[in-house]
Amino acid sequence: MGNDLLVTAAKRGDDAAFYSLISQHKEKMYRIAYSYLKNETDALEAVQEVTCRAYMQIRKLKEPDYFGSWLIRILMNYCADEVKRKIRRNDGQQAAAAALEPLAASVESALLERVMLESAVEQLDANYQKVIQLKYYHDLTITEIARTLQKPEGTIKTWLHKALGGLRQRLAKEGESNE
Amino acid sequence: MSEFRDQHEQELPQLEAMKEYMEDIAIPSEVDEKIWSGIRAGRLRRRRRVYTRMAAYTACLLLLVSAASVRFSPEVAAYVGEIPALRPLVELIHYDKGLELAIDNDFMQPVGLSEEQDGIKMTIDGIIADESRIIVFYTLENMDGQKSVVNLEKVELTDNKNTSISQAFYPHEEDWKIIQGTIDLYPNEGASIPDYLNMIFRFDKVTESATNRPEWQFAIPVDKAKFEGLKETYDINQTVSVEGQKITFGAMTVYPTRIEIEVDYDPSNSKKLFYFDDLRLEDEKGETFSTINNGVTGSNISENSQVLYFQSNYFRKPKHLYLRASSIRAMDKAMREVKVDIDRKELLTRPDSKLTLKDIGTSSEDGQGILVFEMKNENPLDQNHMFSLFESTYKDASGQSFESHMASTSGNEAEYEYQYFIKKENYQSPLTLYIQDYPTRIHGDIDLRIK
Repeated sequence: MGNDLLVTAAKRGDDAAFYSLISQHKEKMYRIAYSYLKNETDALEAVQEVTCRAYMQIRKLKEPDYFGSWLIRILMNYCADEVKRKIRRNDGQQAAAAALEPLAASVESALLERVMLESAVEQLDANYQKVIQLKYYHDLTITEIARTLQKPEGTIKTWLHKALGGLRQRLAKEGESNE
Repeated sequence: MSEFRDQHEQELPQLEAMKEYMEDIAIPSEVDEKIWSGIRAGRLRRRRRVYTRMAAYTACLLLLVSAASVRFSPEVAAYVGEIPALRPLVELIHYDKGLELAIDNDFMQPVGLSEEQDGIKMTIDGIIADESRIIVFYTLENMDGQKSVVNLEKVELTDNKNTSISQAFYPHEEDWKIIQGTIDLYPNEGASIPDYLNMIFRFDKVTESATNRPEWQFAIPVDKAKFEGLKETYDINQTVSVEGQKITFGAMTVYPTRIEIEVDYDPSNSKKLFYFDDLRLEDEKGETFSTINNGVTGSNISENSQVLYFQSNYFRKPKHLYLRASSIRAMDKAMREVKVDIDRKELLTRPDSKLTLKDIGTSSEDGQGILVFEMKNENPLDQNHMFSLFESTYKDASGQSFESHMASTSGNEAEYEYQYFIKKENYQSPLTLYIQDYPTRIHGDIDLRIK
């Protein structure tokens, strides 16, 4: 069954069709949620809530081919709100600490490198961050990113270029100060 | 992926490693379960709208319904402890200053009757009662953490049919632990309050297996001595005119749970007056008590006369009392008819462009027709207010009258959907519906001294 048919069926209220659509993207959804929220419980909660929101809004989805991008957009909006909410609740530090915990066992230098990269990414402007994360963490194509963020591909390429430039500078600086 | 390479990219091999790291994040097996939970929650939430059921004996009551039951989320339950502490009951009636005062003044009668059925423990915590109204406070506890959605399906007084019952209940999500809510009982004119309220409750559980429908029964004692002789009456008997529309305020009766004021509209008024926006009782200190804005807000005595209910300042014992207002929702009597062409699914007449017909559908549950209207209204006066647009009586082109027993609203104040349920009949198109509330207004100050 093609996605067109699945989306049509899901819009009519066919839950199995809707489930199979979501299921195609569940790993990506979970991993993106995890990279924002940094723990399993919150990431699972995100999958549930975003499924729920998508279910309620599926009738508004115009282009069946864009289901994935549409879903990831809902997810990213949810995650961004959740992160803000966490910061407001002053849980920010705890969340950061929790994120490091499961990594403790991994090789130290690799860990340091990744933490530095992640923190450099997190200092970028919101749009640059999203582009970097979607492209490099989650392996989306430029076209997919453009659809997800609802921007022209040219804009995405520009953002990506600037984001990479900024990242390189930051990492170079960090490297110096660490040595 | 070779679709696009940026010149900076080669210099950042760490980025490539990130992808692998992400792919190493294990997907927990619960993810499928969570997707199904999301689907179920979505199905429920899509359906979650406020339904107003209009039973025959409540047809003369004016109803405004907002949330009257409160759900404890599992997160909150976890926060307050393994056995979640109950909220102070006063929070359930925070929308009514008079009832809050009643609780502060020890007017609540504690009950404390419990019954457990099918894993759900229902407790009647207490009642607030006087001759005009009884509010029953209840708590539901999910004892064994069964996953099921509950919906208050039936509330009945077994031996007193002369009492109207009003309740608002949202279907609750499946992972609930505690639900607290209230049920309002209104003895009809002349009905006496019994020594015991014999009540039956039924909750529908939406589960895969459970089809049995247990009922919870209680004999709730009412201490009538607590409110006997508390009623006070005043005669206002003054007529005012707002934009040429004449209104007469008659008798005022003060009870601890509410204040009732009789209002008569001159039959020769050119407009039908729906609701006062800001009618309020004000005392010598400037403290105001507005009309009741949740539950039963008034009752119609006849076409041109009604009783309006106010939050009660009984426990404040005010020295002086004024009745004040500045605007009234109203409409030319001739404009109230909305004609719906049910074949072509369009409105033939309507008050203005704020109201549109979105669709005509059929209820999948019982085959009733549903007229789906959309209301767009940006007026800041109407924040937190979705209108119950139409009277329950409607007619078809042959002139035959019918009764709608259900309506619902969903959406937000600026843009919402109003569904009007019509019986399955062979109608002659068009149908005529009658507006009972709408955001069109007349303005003018009303300022009467009562005492």
